[in-house]
Amino acid sequence: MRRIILFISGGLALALFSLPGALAPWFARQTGEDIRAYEKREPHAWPRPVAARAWLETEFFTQVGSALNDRLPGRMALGALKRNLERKWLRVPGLNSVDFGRDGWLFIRDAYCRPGDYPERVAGVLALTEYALLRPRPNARCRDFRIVAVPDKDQVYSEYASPLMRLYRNQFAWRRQAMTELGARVPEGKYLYMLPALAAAKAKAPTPLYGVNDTHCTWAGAMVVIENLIRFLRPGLWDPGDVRQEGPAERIGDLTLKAGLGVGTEQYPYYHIVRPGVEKVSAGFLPGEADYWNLPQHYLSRSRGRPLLPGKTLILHDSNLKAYRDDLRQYFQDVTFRHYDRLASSQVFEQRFQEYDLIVLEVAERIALDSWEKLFRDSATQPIRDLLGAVLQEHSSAQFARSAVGLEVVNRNGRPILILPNLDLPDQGPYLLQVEVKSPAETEARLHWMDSRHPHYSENRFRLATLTEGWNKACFYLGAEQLRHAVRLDLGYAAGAYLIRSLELHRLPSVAAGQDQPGPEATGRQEVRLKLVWRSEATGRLRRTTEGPAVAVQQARLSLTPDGLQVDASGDDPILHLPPLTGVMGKTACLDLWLDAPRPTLFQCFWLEQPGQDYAEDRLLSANLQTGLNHLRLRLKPASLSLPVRLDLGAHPGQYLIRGLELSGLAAPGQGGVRVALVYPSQWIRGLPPEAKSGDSAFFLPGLLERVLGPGLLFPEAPHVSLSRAIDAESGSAGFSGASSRTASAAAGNRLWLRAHTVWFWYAWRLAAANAF
Amino acid sequence: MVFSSIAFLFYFLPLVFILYFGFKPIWWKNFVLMTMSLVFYLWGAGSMLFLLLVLVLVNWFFVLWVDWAARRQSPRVKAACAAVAVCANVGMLAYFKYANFFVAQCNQVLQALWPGFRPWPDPGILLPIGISFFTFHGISYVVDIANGKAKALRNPVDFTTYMVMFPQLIAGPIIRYFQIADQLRERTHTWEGFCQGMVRFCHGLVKKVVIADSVALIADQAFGLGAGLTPGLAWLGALAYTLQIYFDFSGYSDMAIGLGRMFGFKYPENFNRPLSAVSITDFWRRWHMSLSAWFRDYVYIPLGGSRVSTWKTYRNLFSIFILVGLWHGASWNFVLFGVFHGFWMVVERLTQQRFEQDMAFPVLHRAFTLGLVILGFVVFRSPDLPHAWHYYRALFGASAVAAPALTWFEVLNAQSVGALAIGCLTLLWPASWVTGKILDEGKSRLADGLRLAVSTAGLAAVLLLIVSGTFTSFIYFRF
Repeated sequence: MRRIILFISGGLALALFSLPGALAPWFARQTGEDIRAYEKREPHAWPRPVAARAWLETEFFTQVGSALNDRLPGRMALGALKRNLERKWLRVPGLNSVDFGRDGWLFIRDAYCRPGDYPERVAGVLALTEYALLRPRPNARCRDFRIVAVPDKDQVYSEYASPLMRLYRNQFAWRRQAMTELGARVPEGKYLYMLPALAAAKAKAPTPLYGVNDTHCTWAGAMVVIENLIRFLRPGLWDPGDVRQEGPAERIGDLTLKAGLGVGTEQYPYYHIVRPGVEKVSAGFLPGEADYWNLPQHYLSRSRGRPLLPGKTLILHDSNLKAYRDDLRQYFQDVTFRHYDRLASSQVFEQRFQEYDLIVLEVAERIALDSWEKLFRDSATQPIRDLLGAVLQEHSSAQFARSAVGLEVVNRNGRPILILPNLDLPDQGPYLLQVEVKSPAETEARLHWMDSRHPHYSENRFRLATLTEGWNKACFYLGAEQLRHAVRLDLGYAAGAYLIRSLELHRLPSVAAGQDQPGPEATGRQEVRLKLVWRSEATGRLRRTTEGPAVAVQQARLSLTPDGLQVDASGDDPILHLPPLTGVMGKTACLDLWLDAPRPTLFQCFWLEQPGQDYAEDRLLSANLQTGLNHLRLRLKPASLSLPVRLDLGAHPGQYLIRGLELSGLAAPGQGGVRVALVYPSQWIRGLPPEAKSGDSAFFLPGLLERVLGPGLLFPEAPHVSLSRAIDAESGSAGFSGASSRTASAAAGNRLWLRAHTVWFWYAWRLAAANAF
Repeated sequence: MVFSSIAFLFYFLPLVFILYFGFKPIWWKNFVLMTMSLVFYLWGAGSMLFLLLVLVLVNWFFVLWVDWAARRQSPRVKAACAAVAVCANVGMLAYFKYANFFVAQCNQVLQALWPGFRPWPDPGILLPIGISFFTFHGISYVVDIANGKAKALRNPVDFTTYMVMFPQLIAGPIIRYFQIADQLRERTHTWEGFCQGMVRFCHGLVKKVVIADSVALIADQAFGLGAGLTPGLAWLGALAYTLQIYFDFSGYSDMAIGLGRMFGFKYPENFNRPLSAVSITDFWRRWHMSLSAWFRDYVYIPLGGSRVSTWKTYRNLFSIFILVGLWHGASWNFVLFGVFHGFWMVVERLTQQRFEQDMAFPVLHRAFTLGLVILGFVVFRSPDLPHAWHYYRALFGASAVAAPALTWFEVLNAQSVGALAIGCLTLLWPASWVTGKILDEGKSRLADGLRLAVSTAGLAAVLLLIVSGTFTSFIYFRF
């Protein structure tokens, strides 16, 4: 019996350790989606060993470990199970973002504060608050400015607070005191703290005013907030009869997601407001900001009989009121809702919002106490505003400090932001902004800009640079127009210390984008005939070969070498045109480029949508290149491939080498009616007969290995099948019609890594292929 | 790569099993073990792998000479070659582990003596993971061959396998060569042995992930506090750290022994309920036994051991424990840790109070010894001597505390209290009282079922904790 028990235990453990890894490829997509849903981040990408020495760096294996962690099947389910156990039995969360209260109530951790913190914290916050800066400005320029503070859930429902929070009952009193002190700084009648109203309503309300699993108010709680807000703004406007109750409705608690507990839905009675006689005249998002989740909204209303608040009103709010814009707008003649995360600097605030008669700032208690500076960006209290000539912006979660190397930015739990000054640059561009930064982990830096029509930072106007752990040189290509106002640099979401060694702005020698005029070092146009090899995705057979010219437009000399197409750049703006590629159909084509760069720089790809157009930045993809081999994946509309695609290889002179270039897409019917991919330009395949299947992938290092080891060993057909399927699945929504530039998919690096370093197991390849899209 | 990482458990280990058990020949199995061990080391240590390979090469090469000299009966050549190899190992350990410390201490002394002295630059030498272990393996190999205890390995694969085998490569146990010399050439693989190894490995995982990491939260909070550390919290933190280090290290040893068993090796035990020891002497017979045995065989006995005069015996004992302390790390804290234990060893030898059979009230001795061990680990855990001094003052209520920085409630939660309770139950009582009667010795079906339930529940808890990302690195990696 004991032996049987032993065998069962040993076998069980063996199975438990072996199965997850074996099943990983089949669950890779799911785990990726889970990570995006619950952790709000992308799965860690496979590292790219661009050089042999990468294998000798522990960072490489750390990245492999992170990628493996993220792809473990059931990762999220097991995490959720653990936290559910903690929630039900242990009452102790294994994470610092959410607290587990009594009877299953969840609370956001930001609100919690240990004793001793508050007196100091309140004093510090109030002394440094932006309110001191803010108050004279809007008050001087608009007729009325009011602040409405909404208490945190644990203030109202402290009896459900977690044991740890309840241990210090005084903290609730301290916070109330702090809010009162804050109110004392605001002129009388301009400040409303909602706690008394919510506490009174709680005693009468049959259902919770805050979601058990949510940071925010329920519909019932929102009605209390709206009622008191309206009464505060204009007594007599509120009529309880306007509130309509409907049956229960479901909502997903944000804290269950934040805690990784799974999707927790809860039902509450649904309330909304209908004011008879009030009509919506117009409603719409502010121009030019049509695809962002948190966009500002403007409403015009008129009324027959029911009074409205006259004049122009601006409501700056957070997530508490975001869902209730449609209820609130019925009380205003002309109202604009704007999430205060969307605000730029207070100068912009001044310029833009002086036209309003009334500005209402709705803010959650913990935000009010913690981070006023989050609301308005340029604080005069920043200690190092002179460093690098930049005006630094301290996010609530970041600290800035000088160090011997440069500027150190410690990000605790947010995204540190720098606002660079307006530089009064000449209008000739374009410009290249290079930031030498040491990142604590793999993350993404963003550069946002404003323009004269949109004087605020937006998700529509930014460029992205992927940062790896350690030193990076992030390159951002910008037009002169984009530098006319202060640009904003978001360093990254990863917590830890960032170190900025240098910020350099270079004006590039070529004239404005869109006019391919030879620069001073141009060498003139030069053509090289390239072999285009068409092959079937399904069978791998070569279908036919064609030829087309690659044209060096400026500062480039082309030559075909055994390793690929070599481009010798004589200046810092080498430009190359690809030959037109007709016959590719479908909505999306995927262009894979393997490119050696002489040093870190910026790669750009321009395309045209119709003949006669200029190359312009609204048809641009860009990517940061590292020294050595880079793999870029660009998704383009096939129609644009029939016109020459322009490649700006980098912003440095030197030797670039296009090792391989592969286009995957759907073939036109005339091309055999099958999925095809084009592979070119390597000379390796020039001499191969069309039936030589091994040439299909012989444009790259693994191709050599495959020729040595035999066809099909390294690259079975399955990956290509899944690749083309993935493209098809993407094609409905893919394409780059927006103005924002995007880097090549980091996940695409998976393919490179696997190809370059001999995949031993088919499942490993599946794992990468599934994540490449 | 740590044993409790996802990469190791779910990818590396199954891959090793597939390759290792894929083919029967022993040369293949050794080759797989060697290759995968190098990958394992490369994963965690990067380019330090070359250092390890150099050390392997030096030992292999010189020991072949030692063997050649022994066969030619040239004792001088044999001794010279052995000395060179031992010096290479010791030199490498000294350079990589102690050079930074040595330079810093010299700078301090010289600056105190000559105020105008320009300090030497910090060498900034990185410590290769596991160097304390693989250099000791190397020394053991050289000395065992030189002493004729075992035969030299001519096959470089077999030798490299001994030196770099991943189960014990970075945190022990320290395996003396003669203990597994035969197993390197011939060993048996059975399903029963594999299962025994797997169960032992899982027990180690439970110790590490479920208990050590949970009580570590308490210890970290207590040792992280400056002012505001109350005596109660200080004792709780010290006890928690004692449990943490035991469960962490013995868990790692269990995992190493279990892995070895799976691959057909029988590694020596490394722990035997040390926190139940009745004296410090007894403690060192139960704590990190492979280290104690190594120092006994290769340092203490060659120094004369206890077969010399009383004074020299005490000197030997004291020296050994200073070395043991220094082995743990290049810091005065570790020296003090060694001095503390050496002092009590001498005291016990003087009072003849060393083993249970000598004692009237073993329970009292056990409690006293545990107290001493806990006190010893305070200096071991503290980052520097001032911090240790502050902590000792807090332990005995000598530092003024205006207001506690942390309350018990903040430090303790259900998880950490549970882990603390399990730790105490399984450790502080004698072996047969709790676990022994049922889990170890029980032969009834109830005992069988309980064993299965405990194993399954433990494994489930481990998986939950590992996958949800609450594991931490092993403490013993820096040694």
